[in-house]
Amino acid sequence: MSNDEYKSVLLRGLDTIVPGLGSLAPLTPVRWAPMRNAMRAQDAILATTCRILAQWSVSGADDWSVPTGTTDPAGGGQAYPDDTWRVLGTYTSRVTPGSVLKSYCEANPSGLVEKLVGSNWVSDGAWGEVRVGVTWTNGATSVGPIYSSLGLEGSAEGTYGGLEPSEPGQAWTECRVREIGTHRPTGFVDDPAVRAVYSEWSDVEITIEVRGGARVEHVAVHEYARAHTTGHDNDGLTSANAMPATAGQLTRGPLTKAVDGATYEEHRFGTRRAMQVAERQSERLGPRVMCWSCWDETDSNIWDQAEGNPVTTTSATFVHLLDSTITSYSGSANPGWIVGGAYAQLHRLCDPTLIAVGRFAAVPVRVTVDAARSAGDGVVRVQCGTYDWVDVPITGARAEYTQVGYLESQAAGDHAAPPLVVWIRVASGTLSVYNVSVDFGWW
Amino acid sequence: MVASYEQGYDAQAKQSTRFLARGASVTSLTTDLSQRLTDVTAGTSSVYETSSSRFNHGSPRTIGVRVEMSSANTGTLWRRNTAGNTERLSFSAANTIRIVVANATVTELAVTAPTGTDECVIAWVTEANPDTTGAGDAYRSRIMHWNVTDGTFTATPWVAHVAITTASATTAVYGADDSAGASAFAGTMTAAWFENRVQTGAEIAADWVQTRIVVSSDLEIVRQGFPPQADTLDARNQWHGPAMMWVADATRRMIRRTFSPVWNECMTTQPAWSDALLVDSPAIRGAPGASDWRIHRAWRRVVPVPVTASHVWVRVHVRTYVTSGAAVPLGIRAYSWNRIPGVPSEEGGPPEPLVQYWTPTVTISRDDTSTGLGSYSTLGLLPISRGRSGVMDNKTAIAIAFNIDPAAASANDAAERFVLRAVHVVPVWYEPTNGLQIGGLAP
Repeated sequence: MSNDEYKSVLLRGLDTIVPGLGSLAPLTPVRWAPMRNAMRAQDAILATTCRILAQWSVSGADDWSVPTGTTDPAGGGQAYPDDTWRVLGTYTSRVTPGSVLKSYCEANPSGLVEKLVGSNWVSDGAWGEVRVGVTWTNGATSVGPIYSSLGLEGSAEGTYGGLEPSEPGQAWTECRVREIGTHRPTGFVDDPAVRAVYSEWSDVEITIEVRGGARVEHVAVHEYARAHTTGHDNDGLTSANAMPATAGQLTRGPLTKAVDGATYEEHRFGTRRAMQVAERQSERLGPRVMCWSCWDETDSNIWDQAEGNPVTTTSATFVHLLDSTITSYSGSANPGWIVGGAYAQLHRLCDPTLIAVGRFAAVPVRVTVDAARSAGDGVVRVQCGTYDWVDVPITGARAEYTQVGYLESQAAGDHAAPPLVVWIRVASGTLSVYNVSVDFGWW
Repeated sequence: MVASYEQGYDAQAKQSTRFLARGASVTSLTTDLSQRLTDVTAGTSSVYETSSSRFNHGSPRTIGVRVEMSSANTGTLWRRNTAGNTERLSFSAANTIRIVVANATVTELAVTAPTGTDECVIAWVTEANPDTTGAGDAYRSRIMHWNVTDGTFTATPWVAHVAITTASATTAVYGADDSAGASAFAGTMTAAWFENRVQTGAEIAADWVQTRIVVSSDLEIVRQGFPPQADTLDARNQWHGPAMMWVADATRRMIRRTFSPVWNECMTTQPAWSDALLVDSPAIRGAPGASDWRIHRAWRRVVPVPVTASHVWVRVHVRTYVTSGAAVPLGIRAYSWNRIPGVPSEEGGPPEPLVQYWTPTVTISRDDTSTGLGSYSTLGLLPISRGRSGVMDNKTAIAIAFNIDPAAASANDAAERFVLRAVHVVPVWYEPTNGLQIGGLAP
């Protein structure tokens, strides 16, 4: 029996297990095999996640914002970006317990960079860099931003170097998929005390940034199940059973008492722990609904800005975030996002017998909006389905505003569900929207 | 079995329903159709229950009524408690719905005046405020209003307020302030219900407003079962029993719980494409083995896919139009590759053999006009071609391909324009009875 201060489980290399039901029939003495399988299966569930929490792409743009590389960089004025970081997007999310984050990008060879020497801009070569910063927060504890960065090769083509791909298909053949890094709180792997803090439903704020002549097509930050730790005296709801890998009999019988914290006792081997994990997992696990940032690769001179230009409106009535000519919701025609929650249908909202009856699905969500307003209050409405939306009031200067509510969802993974649409309006003045994140919610 | 003896025979009598009645007028709403089967008493222009314990429930809950009403009708729809504890749902003035908690107005909803005697459904939903900061915002509520006759829907945002008192089990009344008919609603109430659960707009609409059919799907739909609750029956027993079966059942339902869209994007940039633009260029190439199918690098991305997913479901939003003449067919496909075609191995040496799958061709032939909304096209289930090594391990490259006039049926190809406005790619598990139905292998 383990006698540690912390109860941990490594979430790598776990096989998915579908625990049997029949062998757990009531009023039969506890046998270890079926119980062990059910408990291990609880851990294996966490190991399956690879949810994308943040991603940025050129989003339909035909070309990159950084110059093509045909202008002489010795011209005196600035014609190319310098080494200042440019924020492509900022995203907030909850993290599946036991996960760290990994990031990667698809990029083409970078363009030219300039630096200021005296009063003249001169070539600094062809290079680019992309980095992802993550701030981890759990309760009152926070660490970050912790950055991982990746240098991107420069283009050697063209008169001055840094030329964009110019031959047919060259942007495909020169595209490289590169891992940017693994993101976790400092000490997460080595120190169980740190891991115990951040294992259970941490919040993250993720920034995706580039500098130099980076020609990035797509950056994604996704979950990577790593390890989960709880304190030995944690008798609350936790999302991992932390079932040891040993196949042998663990105890002579199931443990029946709750933890009391007096010693480093083992409490993972009973129905109490299993039920606690089942309740927590069953209520909280779900999809990352969507994220969006305002960086538009086709904005002129955006390569010389520290962040994207916000989407703005002065409309007193709702207009679509990305197409102000759209002013009313259409479940079949509005371009938008999808709420892919078919596998996360909660009983209280989607019971197939009496509530949803297979006709629809709805999921709880938390919407976080990075926005500002200049005068009158604004509203960012996230709507999915004709009758369900979440209004986020924007009541002051730039900040993250959050609100919870319910949205319609796919009822099956192949359900052509109504789209999620983001609407914006402001009572007076201007509303500016920078980033939007929508998480699967629980309360 | 006689239907009326079958528990739950009434589709609107759910496990959470504490009261449900339908009738020609408010005084005929005495027969409780809920599974509680506890009738209420007819009063003057009202029905009521004295010292009611079932209505003595603050949160979560939904109170709803269906009425036939004209513009001038005002009065109380629901009331419980008295004096400082008063809670009320009413038409406080013509076409203004008001909710009162602790004898103070929480919010009001102005609705469009009925043009005649219209059928309306009104619901007041309350739940504990997940972002509460104290007693003043412990709960939150939302009013929803459907005018079934004219098809309109309006609702308030969620509004925070103090707790609804449950300190006393006082008389609950539908249709007036009291059983004597004070402040009686002047319209005709034809249904009333009370749920100890939050109902979404989608659910109320599906029950009372519109006919929604069961979503058809080729997939196994797995929902949350009855939500596990720790420390319940058998949780510390030394016998196998309901608790462990409950654990196993909940766990079996969660193997795909973290499935999350891998590509969920409403395009920031939406350029129009034509036959003349889809020629070979640095960014555009043909699909491997099918060069008529054109793919821009902005229509492709690499994404991680869960180990428990077999397919992705794909749909796109496209605006298609012609500059003149007849509409031109536009073919759309989605591809999945184990690596980006044409890209050499990341690790040196030859790349992995390319394995590609694609969806059946979807051909649309519309003229949405250059400013029209366009609409969604479902491309269906696409087998995942999963990378096995290096940075592509457990990732796939997804791409959307277009083919103007794929069957060479039009003489107007040069006039065709299309805009890709959104892409939705959702991981699923698909297990057809007749074997894996893949789109095809690369020639």
